[in-house]
Amino acid sequence: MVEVSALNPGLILVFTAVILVVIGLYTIVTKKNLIRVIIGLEIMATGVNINFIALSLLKHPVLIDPTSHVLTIISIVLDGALVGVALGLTLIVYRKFKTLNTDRIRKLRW
Amino acid sequence: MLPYAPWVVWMLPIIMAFTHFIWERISTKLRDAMAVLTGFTSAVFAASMIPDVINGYVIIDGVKHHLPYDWKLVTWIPVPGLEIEMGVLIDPLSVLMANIVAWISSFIFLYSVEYLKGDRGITRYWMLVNFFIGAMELLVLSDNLLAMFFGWEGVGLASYALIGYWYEDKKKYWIGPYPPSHCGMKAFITTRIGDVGLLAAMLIIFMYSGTFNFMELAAHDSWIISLARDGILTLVLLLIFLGPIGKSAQFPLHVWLPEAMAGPTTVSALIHAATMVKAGVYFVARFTLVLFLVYHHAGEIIWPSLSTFFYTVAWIGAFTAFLAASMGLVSDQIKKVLAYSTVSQLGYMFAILGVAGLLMHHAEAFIDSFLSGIYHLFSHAIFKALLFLSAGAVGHAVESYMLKDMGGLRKYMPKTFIVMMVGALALSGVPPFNGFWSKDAILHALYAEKMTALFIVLAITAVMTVFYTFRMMGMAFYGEESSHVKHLIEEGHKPHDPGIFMSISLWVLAIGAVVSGFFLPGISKFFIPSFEWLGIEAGHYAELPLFNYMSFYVTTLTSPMLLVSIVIILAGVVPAWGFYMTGKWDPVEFISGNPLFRTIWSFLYNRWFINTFYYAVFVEGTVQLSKLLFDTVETNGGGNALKNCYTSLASYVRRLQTGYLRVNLSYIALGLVLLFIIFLLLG
Amino acid sequence: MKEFGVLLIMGSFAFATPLMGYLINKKYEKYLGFWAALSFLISIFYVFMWYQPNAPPSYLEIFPSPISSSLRFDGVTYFFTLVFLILGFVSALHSVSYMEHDRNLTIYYTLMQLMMIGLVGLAMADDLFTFFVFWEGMAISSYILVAFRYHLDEPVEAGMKYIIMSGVGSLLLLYGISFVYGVIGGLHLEQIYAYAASLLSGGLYLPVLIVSLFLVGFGIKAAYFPFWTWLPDAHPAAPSPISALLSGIVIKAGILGIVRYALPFILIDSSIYAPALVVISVLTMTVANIIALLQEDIKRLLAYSSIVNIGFILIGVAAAGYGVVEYGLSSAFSHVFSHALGKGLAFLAVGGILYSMETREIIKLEGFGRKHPLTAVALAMALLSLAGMPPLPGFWSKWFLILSALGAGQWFLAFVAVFNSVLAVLYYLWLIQRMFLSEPTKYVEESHEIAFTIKASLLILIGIMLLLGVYPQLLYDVAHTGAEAVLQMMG
Repeated sequence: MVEVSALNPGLILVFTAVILVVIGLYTIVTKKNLIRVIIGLEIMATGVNINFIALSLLKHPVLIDPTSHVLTIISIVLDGALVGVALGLTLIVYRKFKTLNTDRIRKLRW
Repeated sequence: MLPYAPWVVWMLPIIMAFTHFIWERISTKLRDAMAVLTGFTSAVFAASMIPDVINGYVIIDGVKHHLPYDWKLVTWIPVPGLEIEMGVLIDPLSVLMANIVAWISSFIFLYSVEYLKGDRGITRYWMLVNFFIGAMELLVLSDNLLAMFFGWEGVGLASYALIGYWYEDKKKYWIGPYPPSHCGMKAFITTRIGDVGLLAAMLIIFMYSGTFNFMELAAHDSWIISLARDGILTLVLLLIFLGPIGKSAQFPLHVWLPEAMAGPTTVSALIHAATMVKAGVYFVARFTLVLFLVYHHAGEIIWPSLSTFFYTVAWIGAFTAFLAASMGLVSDQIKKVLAYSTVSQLGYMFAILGVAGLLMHHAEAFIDSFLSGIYHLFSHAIFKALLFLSAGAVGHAVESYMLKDMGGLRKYMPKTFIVMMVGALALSGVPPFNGFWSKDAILHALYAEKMTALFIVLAITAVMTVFYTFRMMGMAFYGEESSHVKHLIEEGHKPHDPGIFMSISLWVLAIGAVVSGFFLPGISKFFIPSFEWLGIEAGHYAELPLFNYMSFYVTTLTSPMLLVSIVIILAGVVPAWGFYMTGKWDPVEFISGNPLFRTIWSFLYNRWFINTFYYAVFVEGTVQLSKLLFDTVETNGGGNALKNCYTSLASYVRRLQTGYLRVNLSYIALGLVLLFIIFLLLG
Repeated sequence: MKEFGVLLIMGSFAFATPLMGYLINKKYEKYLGFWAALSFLISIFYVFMWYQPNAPPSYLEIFPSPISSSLRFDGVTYFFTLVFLILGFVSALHSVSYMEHDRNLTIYYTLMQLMMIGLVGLAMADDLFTFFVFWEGMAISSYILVAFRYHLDEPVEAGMKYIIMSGVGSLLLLYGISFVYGVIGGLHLEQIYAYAASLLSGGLYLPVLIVSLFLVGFGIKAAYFPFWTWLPDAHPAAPSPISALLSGIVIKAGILGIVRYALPFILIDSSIYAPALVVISVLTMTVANIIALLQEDIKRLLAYSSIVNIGFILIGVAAAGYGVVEYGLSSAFSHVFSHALGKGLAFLAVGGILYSMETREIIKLEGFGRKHPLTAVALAMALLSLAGMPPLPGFWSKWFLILSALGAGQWFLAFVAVFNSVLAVLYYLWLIQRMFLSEPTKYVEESHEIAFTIKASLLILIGIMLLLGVYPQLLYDVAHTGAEAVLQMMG
């Protein structure tokens, strides 16, 4: 493994990322409102993206590796597409079911 | 040889079988033409292999291979450690069988075009018969037991569907007490009993030898020695013989064959003359060749088992020949007479092949009897196809297969009468028709090898054969018209000779039945590559009369056996002439006048009560047993309890699928955490 | 090099689709299905023309460093591309008639082609990030396709569940990718294999984290226990050709991911990860099988059967994890192929049923075989292949799988596999029996004729299945090409 000095901001960012991902997962699992679930997804996505940058800082403490930044930008774009579709679908869900409470949208089971 | 001939021969019909529903869309004529064309193309490819066998070598991709050549093209089952290569075996036996199957079935196809005109399920018919022929060709051409077994089962499956072809079970198509679909089922289940034995034996052999390939089995003897050491060789051989017993309808599994007449007559002809029932004979012949070579490697240690096996084959054959012929004496349907006669003639072939096996020590005697069996297989294929097809023409004309509904048809169907008479003469072994030469060869071989008991049984059977053949001919074509025929004539449906397609097939086969008798020594020469492979030196067989045109016919016609043959024919023809052809004596009066004859008659008519016995024991027994089981389980709630238990389990488990998005997502989170922790703990 | 032209072909066809949809009369919109089918057909021939099996892998750099995104074409790519394209072709053909009454067909076919590009692309990806981009492209197209008939309740609900769950899966996968980047400094396959080979113990924190994230991320797409819950909703809700694609190949993308990127880590230490795969496989098969028995909706039943078969495929992967790499992967791949064909055919046949009578309830399908023999035979054949009846491809691949489990010394796994095969036969046969042996219901009597392209698509798949069934060498060879490529990478 790479030797990392305690002062490297990457380490802090890694923990930030972990916290964000856990918060995102928690939100997704506990919240019933579809919009909040999507926000949870977004929090997770942010955490993952930060993780990319953070690990790049850990890997190359002095030089900046442009790869991870480029990848992050692309993944933000993909994320935007995902959220766009998800929100569009949320709109249709609301029109159809007149609710965004996911617990009430359970015609399909068993 | 045409390119890839052995592959085309069996693949083409199988592939074409699945295309008929496409042709049907375009035109029904095209579909019929394609089906018949498939048969003939396959036959031409089969015939193209004959010159190679005569030369004794094949040239494939510019390389010369001596026969028998095992042409492996692909690895069929590629599993490491269990590789089974798919190949075809080009040797005299397989090429001869392939030709018999392909040519006779082609003419039967041609015949069916007219015979089945206007039937509803013709597409199904073509599909099934083409598949049937393809499976049969696979059976005879394949170089290993497993592929052969696939063909074997394919033939069984197709025959099941074909016998039950009129599955709507309209009363018109019933023969005997059972509907056609029942008959198909019976054929399938009965032959299945034999198949199970064969399959078990195959697997045991595979366990000991690690191969299914005939050539490899013949080349090595370690497997058979270990089988003999473990003391199960006899059992394995008898299990193997169960397969042919079922397929070729030998005692005690002969019961399905008379019922198999429920299908269209063309199907009966296919099943009885060339395909299906010949599979058993082919397999015994093939295995006899393998065992011959193995025996000469392995030596006396396996002889006790081999002799038991071959005695069983010979005696089951001879007994079946007698049994079936005796049932044929009293049968009341034209097709059933022919069915019994098929079983009986197959018995001849088994008997002589068994004798051939018993004579493995003496090359000349082995060759003599083996070839007689092959002769008879060959001529029987032709004259039995001819007889069935003419019977079909008769049945077509009078709209019934009951002998009592016929009578006096000679006037109305003179051409059919002539061709059927040719077949009947061949079946009874009247010179110079082909049946005479081959049956005489069998009796001759038995006599020469001092197999007196078998000789007597088969000679008596021959008398009965002559009698029932002429009885059938007499009842159908001679004497007074029956009331049924008169009724038909009044209605304006005068029985008449068949049209062009049916006639072509009939005449071709009739000419074949006359001419082919003069080519029998050719078959002997045809088999020379096989004998070379078996390691028999030419000195042992080249001088045999069977290998020489002149001496074969001269010996046959000058030997004392001719006298026996004449006695047999006269002993059979005279009573048939008196009772049925001229009507001098009344058979009904003759039998009912004597209590002994009456008993025999009823015994024979009920087929020795074997069928009844099977139904009582196996069918009824199974039904009663399952009823008993069902009652026990049902009353004690066993079955329901199981079902309830299962349903309640499932209804618990299905709650995993809640439909709550939150729960689903929590599975993900839980799964992630669990995996992580488990991996950490394990690592 | 030339084999990468497949992406170019499919891309140009896909971009031309909306243009054509804009230009032509809406009446002829449905014939865009032939356009899509043509694109897949040309691609199949292209792959056949340019790829020599067992050749060394070829590379194509799309973007140079720092993005350093590149494609590779090796045995695994060849195998999956072939499977994907065959199924894509028949589904597009099937769609022409099946979707003829729907609106927005231009969008439908564009999305279908985009999804196929995503699938083919992720089979070709050389590094994890290119993989992820194609993965998302495939996933997002499939979300919309599941909810395509958004005027109905079911697709909307199913699509909602699918998008959230699959979105979480993608993000967890990306999280795993970021860790791979963190420990290796690059995302290329060679680098991953080199890193995994240099590890002495598999129990380090980061590999464990990466494998668990990958198993979850890919697992949600592949829908094994306990991540399968979106599948029984989403697959039946989609239009039938899309169900065929989803069940036939999209869930296989998860297997592809595991085999490509998680396997090097799994192989480090067979005592850690392989048992987990065995447990997952056993649970997936058994649980899904038990639930499937009570289904009344034919498409839902087939969806559960997809889960069961993913469990079967995992047997091969688990065997590979135990070190029987070549044979384990060959058997897993052959089951991927045979299940893709069988399930594709089953869903397309059900599509034919829906086309003619618009009901999915099994009880109403009684006697269907008497009215529509071809479609019913196709369905029966697909089910028999899935049940493992010789001589259909499903039999061979299941046999390979069980042998590979035995080869890995997993007697219990093999036993469970056999047990589940038997259990599955119950509901397949029950369905077949209902279809053929019962008298036609009034719904069946009222059903109308099935269109030609639907029948054509069924016939093509039947043909391929029969070919592979009677000639299993082909099946094994194609699958073995894939396994060989993995072996080459392992060195």
